[in-house]
Amino acid sequence: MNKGLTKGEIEAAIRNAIIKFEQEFMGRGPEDVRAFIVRDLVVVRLKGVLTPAERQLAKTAEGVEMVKSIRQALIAQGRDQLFEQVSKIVGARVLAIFTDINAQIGEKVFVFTVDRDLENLGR
Amino acid sequence: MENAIRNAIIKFEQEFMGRGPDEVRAYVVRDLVVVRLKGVLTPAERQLAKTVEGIDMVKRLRQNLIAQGRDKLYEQVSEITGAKTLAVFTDIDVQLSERVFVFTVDREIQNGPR
Repeated sequence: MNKGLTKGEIEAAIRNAIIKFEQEFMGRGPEDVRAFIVRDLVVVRLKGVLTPAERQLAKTAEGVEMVKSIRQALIAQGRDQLFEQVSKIVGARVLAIFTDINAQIGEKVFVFTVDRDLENLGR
Repeated sequence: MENAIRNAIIKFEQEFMGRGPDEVRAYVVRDLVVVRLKGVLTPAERQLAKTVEGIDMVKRLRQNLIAQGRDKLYEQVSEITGAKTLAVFTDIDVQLSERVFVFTVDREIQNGPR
């Protein structure tokens, strides 16, 4: 799928796929998404991922834990879909997905590891 | 700089988490520092991670441990990059025994002389 796509084009495609995933599966489109390819990693940073109710909940330490664990459980459900979409875009097999959310600042990060170096694409 | 981050993370894992990882790679991308660690689990944890319940336990334990060391990590990454660390994101894949850290900092980092 990535044949002929530049690194920038792949990053844009990943960005759009993640926005779509967040909107359709998690139920809320993030405010800002940036994707970066670094060697055999795809790093995605999302801002503004929490709903107003979650932001309110995250004002206490207990609430932060709750938001974090529900988000982790939700993402586990969508894992296969993410694997598939990212594999298709980058044209490499996704080996693992790492993700974490900072509930206080409403930011989330994904790191996908893939089975080859993606840096020299389209050159 | 990537090498300095790599060494700081290795030291942190050895001294604070109690086990040096098999392999660590660090990358600076704009205002992010991405660190990938392989071989982070102890033999006992790897054994525990053979069941779904064990995976959860290891993950939870590791997350709680890292929360305790957060300030130290912030400080070290800030010192190396010369930028203020805003947040640290981390996740562990227990089956693969791999861990990732992503630090966000308050400016784009110039990665050494070009």
